[in-house]
Amino acid sequence: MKLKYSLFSRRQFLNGLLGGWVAALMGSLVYPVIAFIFPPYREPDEVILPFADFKGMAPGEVRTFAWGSKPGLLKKNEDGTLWAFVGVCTHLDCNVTYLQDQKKFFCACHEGWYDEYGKNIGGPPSTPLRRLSLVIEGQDLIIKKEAPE
Amino acid sequence: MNIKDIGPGLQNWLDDRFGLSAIMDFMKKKPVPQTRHSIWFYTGSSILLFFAIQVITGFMLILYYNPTLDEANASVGRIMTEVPLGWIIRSVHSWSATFMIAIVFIHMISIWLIKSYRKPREITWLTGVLLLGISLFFGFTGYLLPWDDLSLSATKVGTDIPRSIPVVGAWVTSLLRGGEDVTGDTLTRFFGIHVCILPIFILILLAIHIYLIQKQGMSLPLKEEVAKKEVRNIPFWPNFIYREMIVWLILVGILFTFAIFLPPSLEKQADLMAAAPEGLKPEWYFLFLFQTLKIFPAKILFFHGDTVAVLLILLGFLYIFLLPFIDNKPTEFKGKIITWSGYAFIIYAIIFSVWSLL
Amino acid sequence: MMAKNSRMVVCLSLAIFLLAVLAPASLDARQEESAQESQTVEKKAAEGIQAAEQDIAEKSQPAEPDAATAGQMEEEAVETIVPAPKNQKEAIGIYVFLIWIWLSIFVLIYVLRLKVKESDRIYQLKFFDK
Repeated sequence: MKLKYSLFSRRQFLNGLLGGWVAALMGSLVYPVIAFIFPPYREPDEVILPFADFKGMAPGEVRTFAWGSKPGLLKKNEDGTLWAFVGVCTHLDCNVTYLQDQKKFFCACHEGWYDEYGKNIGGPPSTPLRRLSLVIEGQDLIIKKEAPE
Repeated sequence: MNIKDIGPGLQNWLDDRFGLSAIMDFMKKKPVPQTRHSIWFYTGSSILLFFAIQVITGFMLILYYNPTLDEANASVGRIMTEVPLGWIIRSVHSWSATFMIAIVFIHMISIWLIKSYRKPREITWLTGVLLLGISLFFGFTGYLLPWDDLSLSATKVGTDIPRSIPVVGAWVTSLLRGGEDVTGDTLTRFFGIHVCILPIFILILLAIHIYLIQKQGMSLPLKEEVAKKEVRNIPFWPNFIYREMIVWLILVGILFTFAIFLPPSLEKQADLMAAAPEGLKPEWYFLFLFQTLKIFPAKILFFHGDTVAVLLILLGFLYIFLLPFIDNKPTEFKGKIITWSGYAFIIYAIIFSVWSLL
Repeated sequence: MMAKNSRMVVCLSLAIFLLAVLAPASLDARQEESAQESQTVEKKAAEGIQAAEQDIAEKSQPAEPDAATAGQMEEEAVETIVPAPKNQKEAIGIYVFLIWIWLSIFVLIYVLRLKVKESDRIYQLKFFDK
């Protein structure tokens, strides 16, 4: 289909080509910069701990372990089962503590409360504490990202 | 409102407030003479290109670099192994430094040989020589930052050299080192100098240097000026800028190719107690000075060999610095001798650099 | 008429821009998973030999990206760290990037040379003077 008039002149084409290609070149340089400056550290997929460290826990006791750079909380429930939480408040990321006498997790930053199973019961947090899955394999306690059930 | 009205619309809006159209008019009128020597005009903007690349890659590297004795080497290692494309960014930073200093030398020598430092451009020359000194100091301080054996030893030697200067020598050395020896304090000091102190100075000097060039215009080589011939000019914008862009593109291509295929590696962390490694040598731009110091015997008459060597080097630097004032009669025989001294400097630098590698 | 042209130019340049930005991004997204695996301490024999050979003196030897498919993760703090892409995908991505850069350089230099000739001709014709 032959047009009666050109869509654009040769000068416009060249200017557009120059400007557009330079923009594309700059764009392709932007990507490595972005990839570089955003920190690559992530949460670990799993953490392997020696089970021996956590054998003698009393019911209702909570011990910490390292979950990447966050604190992980390992809790022995009343019925003897072990649960693992990410010990970070779901409100604004402060570290929580377990108050054993009250059987509640407490976040001091804005007075957020969680019950002994990590469910949010008071204060600003709108979701429960994040749970991690727990598997005992021989001598090792393997803690993984996904929450069970 | 059309899409194509956005561009000019924005331009007018900014111009009403900044008055930048005066700059654009100036750039459109600024004449760039086209002579046999005009090819050297490209060196100036090429230096700016590499400096800009250094600033950008420097901004990126500083996000991960840790300037303490325990963590410096490890943090550079993390940049190279854990951070995505970190090794490329570091490689670009390292190679761009080399290219920038090389072009600074070429820039200075080209101006020396065609005597562009004549009146009224003496201050441009003075600021230029200081800019060369700052660029070399950038390279020297940056070299220590990975804190591996080679860079530690090179810094020990480099900061020991001023000690040979009479009277102020020991003081200069301890100022550079932050103490008697090269320690973690030296690293802290060099880091601060490299990322904060020198950038401010270089920006100030660059501003003066570039302002003077715009104000005084491009110089004509001596012959053309003497003959008072009509010289063909082209406007800076857009004619010369398009040509410069071609040069920049080629330089960037070469830089990326070198950076990807010849990236610098990282040795293990420096051991302050270890013996100096074999094959110790500074970066290439210091090789000729290094060799000059090596050839002087330990004692000459009553003086220490290295004192004589250092003083001679300082004298040479002073000669280059004061060149516009020494070369006050450029068309006469004295002027020709000074031109030949420029060629002599090139030959001396190349021969001594190669010699130091043998 | 003019409005349509400028719109086409803008759309075309936007398309090229997005292509240039998203293509390497998608390439790298696929690498992320394999990058994570090679992050864990994994020393291959080839790597160990390579590291031993390049100990100390050599400052500028990079493993060529295809030779470095053995990855280069020098987890031992004692060895020289030789920079190289993490895996084959990253190596290919870098090669593609380099080819793209040089291709762009040639295309842009071609266009710039035309622009130089054009601007010189305009200047000689004294097009903008009164």
